[in-house]
Amino acid sequence: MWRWLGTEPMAFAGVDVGAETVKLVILNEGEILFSKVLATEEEGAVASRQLMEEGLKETNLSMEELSYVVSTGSGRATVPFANKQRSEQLCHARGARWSIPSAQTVLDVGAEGSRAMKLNDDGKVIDFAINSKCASGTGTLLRAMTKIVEIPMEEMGIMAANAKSAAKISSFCAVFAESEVISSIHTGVSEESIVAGIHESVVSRLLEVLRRVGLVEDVVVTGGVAKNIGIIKRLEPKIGLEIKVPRDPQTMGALGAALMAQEMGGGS
Amino acid sequence: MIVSGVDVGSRTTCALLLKDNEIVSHSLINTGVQSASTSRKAMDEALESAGIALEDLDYIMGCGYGRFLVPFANEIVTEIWCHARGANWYFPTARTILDMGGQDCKAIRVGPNGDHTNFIMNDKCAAGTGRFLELMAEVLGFRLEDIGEMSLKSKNPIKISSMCAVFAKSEVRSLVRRRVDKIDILSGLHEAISVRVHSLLKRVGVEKDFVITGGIANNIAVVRKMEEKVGLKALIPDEPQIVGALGAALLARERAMREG
Repeated sequence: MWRWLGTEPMAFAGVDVGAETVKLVILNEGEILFSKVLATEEEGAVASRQLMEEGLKETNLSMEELSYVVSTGSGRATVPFANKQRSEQLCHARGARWSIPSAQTVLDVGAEGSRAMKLNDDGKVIDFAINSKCASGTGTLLRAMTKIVEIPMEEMGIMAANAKSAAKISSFCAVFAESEVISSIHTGVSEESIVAGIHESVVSRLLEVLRRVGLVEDVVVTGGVAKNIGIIKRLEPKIGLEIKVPRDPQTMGALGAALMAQEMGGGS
Repeated sequence: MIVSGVDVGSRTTCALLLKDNEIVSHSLINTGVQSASTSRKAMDEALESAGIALEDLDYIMGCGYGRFLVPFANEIVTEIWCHARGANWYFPTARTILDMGGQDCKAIRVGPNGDHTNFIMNDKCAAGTGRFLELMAEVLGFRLEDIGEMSLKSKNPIKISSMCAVFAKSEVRSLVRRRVDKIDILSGLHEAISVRVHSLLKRVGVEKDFVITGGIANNIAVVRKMEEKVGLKALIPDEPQIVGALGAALLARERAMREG
């Protein structure tokens, strides 16, 4: 009966299907009820359903109680239960702005690409630049390098953040950079310097994307790679600005999608 | 007069001995990490099979990506020049050369005298190079030398959307997980590399005769696709991987004759 009394719970969801992970955020009245990242090799349809089931269970909601669902990410078209699809740049910008209201420039760095968004005062995306064609400057390159230097991602990031010097990696291509790193190891270049060099090479690609939209404070970095302190610390001196990272940068796309779902589905 | 050309490529090193206008012997070995000892090893193999000593050589020309690591060379030159000369030796009518190597790809225009008039090279990106096919063969569990023939058997070629070798690897893995026929995947991969290489060729302009050299010239599927895209039959040297070293040897002979 309560459904007729205008107290119907209005829940909204955003699903971000990336190359390596699926992210889900469930919102209710502007409050985050559920937020999770699932690393998976499953197809987008399977992975997003799997994560949604978990999210619904945890929030005691049913699929019918989700008023609106927006999907984003490279696999956004594969989400069977999405009402609408929205681009990564719109969703990341929205999520970042909600988390850090002073955000004017948002850089999303994911497994298979990066994108920089310029926002106006209302938070609208007024310009953006994308690299999604090439693995240099992406999380995939960093992941591949963890296997070569045999250092886990987080540790590699800390090492890069603290390194005094950085080995020059001249290869632009991720494939050739791998061979270059292997030969640097063979010729006795220090681990710390190599690791820093790897991060520098990613940073230099991110700079290209950022420069195409221009830099306005505050700069917010989102996406899985934003969790890598080495990237953040090496990017900051290059842009001459302090970088802000949301508490859970990897879910910003899903959060932005959920916020858009709330707007489109008539929530507050 | 006996001269030699040594082409130290990123993947393969070739040493070739030329007596007058005849190829006396040649060697092909993996470059590996140490190019200095590699070039010596390749030279020793070529000398041994011809029964000639290093001292008997009148002039040695080094070329290729590792040309600075040929300590016994009298001189080094860029491989562009060498490929143009080498292709001209095989096919005097060659006007466009596509050299597809282990880690790079060059489109070269040549004049009737075997001098290059224009060239474009991709050595920045693994897409469109031998490395791309090597990685894909690895992911699919096939031998590099087999994939060209295999891919010709495809009935329903799959479109591969990634140009980048790293992304193509994940794309292939996910296609395999979806049980897509590996032969059809191979065909899509050959199409992807051909599109990439064709864009390089278009930038120098193609004029016949059209010659393909380098290790990938041994891949029949790439050759067929390039012929289709260019609209010309491709001429392939019987030993497509020695063309750079042959050109270097021809240039060595010119030098030796001039210096008398």
